[in-house]
Amino acid sequence: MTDETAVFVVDDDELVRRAVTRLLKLDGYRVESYPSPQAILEAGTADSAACLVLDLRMPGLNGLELVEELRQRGVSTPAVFITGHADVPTSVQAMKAGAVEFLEKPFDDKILLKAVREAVERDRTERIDREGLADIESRAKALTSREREVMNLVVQGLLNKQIAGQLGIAEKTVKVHRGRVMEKMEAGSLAELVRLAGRLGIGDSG
Amino acid sequence: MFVFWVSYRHENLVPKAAGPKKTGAFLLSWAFLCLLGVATGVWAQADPEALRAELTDAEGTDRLEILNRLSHAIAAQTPTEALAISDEAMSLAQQLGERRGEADALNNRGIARYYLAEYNEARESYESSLLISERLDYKIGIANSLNNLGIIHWIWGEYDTTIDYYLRALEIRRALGDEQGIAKAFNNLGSVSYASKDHDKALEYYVESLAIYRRLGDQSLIASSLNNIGLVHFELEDYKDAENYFSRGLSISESINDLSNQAYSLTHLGRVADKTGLPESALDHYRRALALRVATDDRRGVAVCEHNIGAALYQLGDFEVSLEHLMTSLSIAEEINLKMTVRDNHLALSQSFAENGDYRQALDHHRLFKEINDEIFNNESASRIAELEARYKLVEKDSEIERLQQQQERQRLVRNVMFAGSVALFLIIVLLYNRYRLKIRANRVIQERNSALEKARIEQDRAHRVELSHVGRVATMGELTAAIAHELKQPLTAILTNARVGQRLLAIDPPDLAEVVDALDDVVTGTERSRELLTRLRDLIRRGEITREELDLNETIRGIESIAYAESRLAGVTLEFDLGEDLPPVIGDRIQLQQVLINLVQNGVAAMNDRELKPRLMTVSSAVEAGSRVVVAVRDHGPPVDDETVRKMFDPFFSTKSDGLGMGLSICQTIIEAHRGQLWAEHNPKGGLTVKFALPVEEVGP
Repeated sequence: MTDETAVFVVDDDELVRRAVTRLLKLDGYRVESYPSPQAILEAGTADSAACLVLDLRMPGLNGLELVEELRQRGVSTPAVFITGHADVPTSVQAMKAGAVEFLEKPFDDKILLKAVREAVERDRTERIDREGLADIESRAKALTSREREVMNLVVQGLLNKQIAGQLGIAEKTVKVHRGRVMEKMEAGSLAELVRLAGRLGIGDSG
Repeated sequence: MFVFWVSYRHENLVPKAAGPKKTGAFLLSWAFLCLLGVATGVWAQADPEALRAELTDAEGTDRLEILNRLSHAIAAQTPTEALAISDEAMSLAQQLGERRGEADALNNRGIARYYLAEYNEARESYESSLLISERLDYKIGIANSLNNLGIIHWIWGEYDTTIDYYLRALEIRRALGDEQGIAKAFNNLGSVSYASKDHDKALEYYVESLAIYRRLGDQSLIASSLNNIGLVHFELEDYKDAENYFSRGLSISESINDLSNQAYSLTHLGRVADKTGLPESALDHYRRALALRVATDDRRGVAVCEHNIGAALYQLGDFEVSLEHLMTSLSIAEEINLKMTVRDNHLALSQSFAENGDYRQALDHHRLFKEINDEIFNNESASRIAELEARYKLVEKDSEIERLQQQQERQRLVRNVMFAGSVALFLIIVLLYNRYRLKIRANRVIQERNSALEKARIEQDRAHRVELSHVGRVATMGELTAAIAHELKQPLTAILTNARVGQRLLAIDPPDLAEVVDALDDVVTGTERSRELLTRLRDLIRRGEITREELDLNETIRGIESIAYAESRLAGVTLEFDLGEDLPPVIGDRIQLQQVLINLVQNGVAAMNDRELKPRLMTVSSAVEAGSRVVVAVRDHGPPVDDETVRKMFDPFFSTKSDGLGMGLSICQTIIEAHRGQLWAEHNPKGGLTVKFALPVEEVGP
C-alpha cells in the first residue's frame, strides 16, 4: 500500500501496546503507539489518524477524557475502546461519546480488526462530508444578500410572483436573481438547490 | 541523699531571637512559644495606646490597617479583645474588597485564638488566610500563615509537620529576599528541631541563622543565636562548647548593653557551672543574672534567678539562706502565675525543709508540689509523699516519748531520749529492712506469676494475630479482586493477540519468522507476568506461622509492586515508588508487612476516588531515620481529612467507606505493634494523608 491508513494505539501497558501494534501492522495499517493520553496530546498528531485504539483506564486522563479533549481541539477521529473492566455505565458513556466499538480484554483479533475497519470507514465518510460541506459553504458565500433572500424563498417553494410581492421588486428581477443563484450554487435543478440549501440548514423550517 | 532538681526548665527552651518580647500570656510549659514568633508580624513593634488613639477618626483602608495592627499588638495580653478587633477588621476588609487585609485579619484572628488556647479554630483561621494569600500570591501573608500553622502543629507535638511548614515559609522568605525573615525561619527550625531532640539539625539551623544575623550586623540577635547554639551544646552535655557560646553571647550583650540577653547568658553559664561541679561559680553567675533581672524589672526572670540561687545554696549546704531565696521566688511566681517555677520551688522547699528537720513544712510543700505537678504533667510522686508522711509520723512518736520522759529527771531524760532515739533508729532500720525484703520477695513472686501469665498471653496473642492477619488478608484480597482481574487481563490480551499474530504470520508464504520469534517472546513475557502476579497473590493468602527474619524493607515493598499497580491503575491513579538507599535490615514477617502496605495503598486509592482530584498521584517511600528506625510512608493526594477521622481511623470497625468493614487499619496497627513499631497518619499540607509506619532497626553485632 502506498497511501497507508494510519491507526494510533494508546495504552499504558507496553506488552498490550506492542501486541496490538503488531496485529494492526500485519493487517496493513501504519501504526503509531503512545504510552499515555498526554503523550498523544503533546505529539498533536491525532488528526492524521483514521482510527484511535484506546485503553479506557489509564493513569492521568482516561480514554473517554482523551476523546473529549481531542473533540475540544477539533479532532474527531473515531475511537475503538479496549478495556479490562467493561461495566455497563462506562460502555454506555463510551458509545455516547462516539465510540465505534467497546471491546473487553482479552478480545479476539478478528473483532478488533473489524472494529478498526469500521472506524476507518466512518472516518473516511465523515471527512468527505466535512469537505463537501465546506465546498457548499464557500459557494453560498459568493451570493449577494439579495440573492440569498431569493434563494431562501425559492427553496420554501414560493413562486416568482409571490417572491416579487414579498420583496417588493419586479418579477423579472426575481428571475434574474434566481438564475444567478442556480449558477453560483452550481445547482442543475430546483431539487438540487433544495438539497444544497438543506445541507446549509436553510429551508427545513419552512 | 536523694536530690531531685527539676529546676529551671522553663528557661531552657527559650529561643530568644525569634520574636517579640514575652508578655503576660501564660501557657504552661509552652510559655516559650510566646517568644517564638506567633507574632511574625509585618508590624513588629506597635504601641497599642497610640493605635487606639489613631483609630478614633480613621476610615477605610487606614482603619483596616490600624485594626489589624492593634489586634496583633494586644493578642498576647487581651486575646478576647484582639479577637473582636480582628472580626471587625474582617468585615471591614470584606466590605472594602481588600483581600490582603482580609488575609491579615484572618491571621490575627488565628493568633488571638491561639492565645485563647483554641488551637483547632486557630488552625482554621490560618488555613483560610493561607488560601486567600496563595490566591493573591501575597507572599508575606503566605509566610506568616505558614509560620503560624507551624506553631500550632508544634503544640500538638507534630514536629515533622511543623518543620514542613517552616521550610515552606523559609522558601518564601528566600523568594522575597527577606534576610531577616530567612534568619528567623532558620531560628524557628532550630528551635523545633531542638524540641524534637534532633540536636544535629538544631545546630545546623541555628548556625545558618547566626551567619545571617552576622551579615546583617544585628548584635542583639547574634547574641541570641549564640545562646541558642550554647543551649543545644548544653543539651548534648558538651559543657565546654556550651560555656564557650554562652560566654560569647554574654560579651556581645554586654557590648551593646542588652541587659536581658546578658541575664539569659549568665543564667545558662550558671547551669553549666552547676553541671560541671562548680556550685560557687554557678551561684556567682545566678547572682549577677538576678541583679540584671531586677534592673530590667523582669519579674519572671527574677523568680527564676531567685530559684536558681536557692538551689545553688542548697547544694552548698547553706539551707537557711537557700530557704529565703526559694520563698522569695515562690511568692513572685505565685503572683505572676508562673506555674512551672511555683512547682519547682515547692519541690526545692520540701527538700530544704526536710534537710532542716522540719518535716511538717516539707510535707506541705511536697503536697503542693504534687498538686501542681499533677495538674501539669499528671506525674506520680505519691511514693515521695508517703515516705515523708512516714518520717513525719515517726518523728511525732519520738516527741511523744520525749514528753513522757520529761516527767522524769533531766539527766535520765537525756540518756533515755538518746536511748529511745537509738532504739527508734534501730527499729526504723529493722522495719525498713524488713519492708525492703518483703517487697523484694513479693516482687519476685509477682514477677514469676506475671511472666507465666505473660507467656501464656503472648502465645494466645500470637495465635490470634496469625488468625486475624490471615482473615484480614483474605478480606483484602476480596476487595482487590476487581483490580487483580483487570491486571491479569493485560498479559492475557498480549498473549492471545501475539498468538493470533503468530498464526497469521505462519500462514503467509513465505512466513516472516523473525516477527514470529518476537511475538512468541512477548507471549512468554506475558505468561511470566501472569505467573508472578499469581505467585504474589498466593503468598499473601497462604495461612502461615508468623516468621521473624531479617528483611530488606525495599525488597518487601517491591514484592507488592505488581498488586499495588493493579489497584492504582484501576482507579486511574499514578503510583510512584521512592525507595531510600542503603536501608538497614529490620526483623519481621514479610507477608504481614506486605499486607499492611497493600492495605495502605488501597486506602489511599480509595481516598482519591473522586476523579476531579488533581494530581492523581500516590507515593510509597522508604527512608532510614537517625539510623535507628526505618520509616515507610504512603502519601495520597486525597481531599482534606478532619482530625476526628485521623484520631479514629485505627479503631476497629471505623470506616468512611460505605462498603468497608473497618478492620483494615486496625489489623495493620496490630501487625506493626507486634513488630515493635508505630503506625500513624499525618495531614498533608494540601489535603490528603500520609500514613507512615516505623520499624526499629535491628542492632547488628560486631
